[in-house]
Amino acid sequence: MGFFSKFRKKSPWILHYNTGGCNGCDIEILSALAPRYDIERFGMLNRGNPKQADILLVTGPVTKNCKDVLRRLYLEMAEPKVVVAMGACAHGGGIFRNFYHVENGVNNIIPVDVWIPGCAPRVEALIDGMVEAIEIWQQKSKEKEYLRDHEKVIKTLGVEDDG
Amino acid sequence: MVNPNMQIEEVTLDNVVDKIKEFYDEREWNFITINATDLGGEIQIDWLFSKYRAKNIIKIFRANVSYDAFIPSIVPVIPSAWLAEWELADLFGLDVENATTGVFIAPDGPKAPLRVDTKL
Amino acid sequence: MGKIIVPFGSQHIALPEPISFLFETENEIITKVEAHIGYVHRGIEKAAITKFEYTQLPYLTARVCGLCSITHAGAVVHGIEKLMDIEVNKRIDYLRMLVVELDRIHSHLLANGHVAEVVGYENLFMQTFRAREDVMDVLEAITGNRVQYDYQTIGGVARDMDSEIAEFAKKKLKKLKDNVLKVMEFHDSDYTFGLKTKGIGVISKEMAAKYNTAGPVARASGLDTDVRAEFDYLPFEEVGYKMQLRSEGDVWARNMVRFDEILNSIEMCENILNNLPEGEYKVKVKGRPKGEVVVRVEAPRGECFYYLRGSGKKVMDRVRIRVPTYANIPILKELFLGAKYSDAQAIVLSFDPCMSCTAR
Ligand code: SF4
Repeated sequence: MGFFSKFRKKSPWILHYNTGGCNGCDIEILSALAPRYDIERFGMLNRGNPKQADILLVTGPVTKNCKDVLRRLYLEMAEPKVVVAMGACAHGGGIFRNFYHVENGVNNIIPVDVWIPGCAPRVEALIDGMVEAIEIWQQKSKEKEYLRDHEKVIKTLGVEDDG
Repeated sequence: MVNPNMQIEEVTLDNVVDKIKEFYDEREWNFITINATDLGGEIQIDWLFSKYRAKNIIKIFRANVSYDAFIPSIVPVIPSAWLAEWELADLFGLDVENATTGVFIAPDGPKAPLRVDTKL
Repeated sequence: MGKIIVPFGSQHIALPEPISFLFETENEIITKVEAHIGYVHRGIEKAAITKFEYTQLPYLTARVCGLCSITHAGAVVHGIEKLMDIEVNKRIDYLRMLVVELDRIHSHLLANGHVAEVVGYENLFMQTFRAREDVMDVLEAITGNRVQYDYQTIGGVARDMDSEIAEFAKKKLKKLKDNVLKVMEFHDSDYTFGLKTKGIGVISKEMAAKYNTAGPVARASGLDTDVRAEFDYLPFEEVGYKMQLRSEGDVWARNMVRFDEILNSIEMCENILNNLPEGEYKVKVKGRPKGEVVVRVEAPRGECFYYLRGSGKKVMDRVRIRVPTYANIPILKELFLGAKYSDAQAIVLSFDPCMSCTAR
């Protein structure tokens, strides 16, 4: 484990993006930042910069307008990174499944590591999922797994690797 | 819920702008929105207004138009109407004066999704 | 100085939802705006007339927006009950009103806290959100969920309320009122907060009327419009509803109007809890919706309008949703012109924009 990873594990930064859900999940994320639930106990901060974020927290079923933005945010994040999908509609669309402007869930666009079910999930469930995400993040940075799966991921993302 | 007092006035596309100009007073009436309903074969367009400081009064200008009709814009009279008009162009595929498409529908999305014969 | 183009959104730390603006700025002053508001378009209006039966509609429209899910579900329920000629009893009306007002409190507190955060007053954001958790507890006790309540159903509400919950709610509301007054004091009198909000993004009464604004944005400019007073869908006047008006029309006034409404809503909730009529919480439902009706309800952000049309089938013929943010977008665009770029965040958030409502 490198010098910086030691600190990153203690303070992962979150990048939150709503891809077209009803924003019920998003206000629960705001609640999680507030004093009652206080996700900062785990060192997590919501920072809106993909270049510095470790965990991508996605809500919503991914609309056609949002999918390119989501893909770009994912690609802009540095490895190792963890994707957390929150809410029923991030899991294959939920109530919005097969609507004409919806891509049916986050993992049709980017690979997902942690799922948090519920509509809307409770804040406790969100915290649970985020803690799990840190563990996966550690695992990834130890095993350098992201390098092994790289080709497959690039293929699902549908982008050209200019090597 | 009580019965809303809906005053429906039939108009045509030629005279709707003049009718609304004559009727609309921004201190008395709140422009709600423009609504379109596909009746199968033709589209019913409603311009809806509600009265300030009154109970349950709704004024509707209604026109039945064909799919390829040219809808005149009421933006010169009501400057906030552009969003509703652009939506007509986007979701119903109507030909609206000065409208830009692509506000809601992505380039790879379906065309005119809210028409009944668009099966999705 | 040349022109500089600054993108704002769709992913941005200040925005919980995707909306994007392209500001063309000259010396920090915004000279041109392009807005893209359609990121969240999912096609709910189409699904409402093809995939879902009318009994399922309240659950679908609740997912238009998480913050005002109760208003959307309520609007559909009121409309369908009108089309099916169902009369509900007083207790149902009162229970519905209670949840609608509690929802307004939590939404307004969220909006005010958010404004405090984007002007850089993080502590106030935290305090406002702490006060908000009390009302979330009450909502959870009454409806069973924190965000998506699914409380109103056709012909009644989903569950009854017993006296234990009523007592709990009364206690919490009292505490909430104290906290809200404290937080309001800060919003009202804090000097630095005032520097960032007073005189910023001013809408005059004439402008508000000209652009047909809705909700707290209109009332902060002195335009006296409130659907609770203009449309009889629930007996708000019986429980002490009063219209709240301010005249300044700036970011600060919009926050204060929301606080005034919170206090009014708390009063209404207490009145409801003290005078809850007896009766069933569900009535018998028969028939299918037939005919057309317009429904206007007051969402936390302003007037929410529904047009429903049915022809005696299981699936409706048309469901049209027009939400308050949709009415406020045109003036928001005008307001940016001539404003400083550094104020843009506060102006956007003071409108409390709800994009998932707008694009549906
Ligand atoms: S999971 Fe439910 S609450 Fe969360 S964004 Fe989707 S519809 Fe809204």
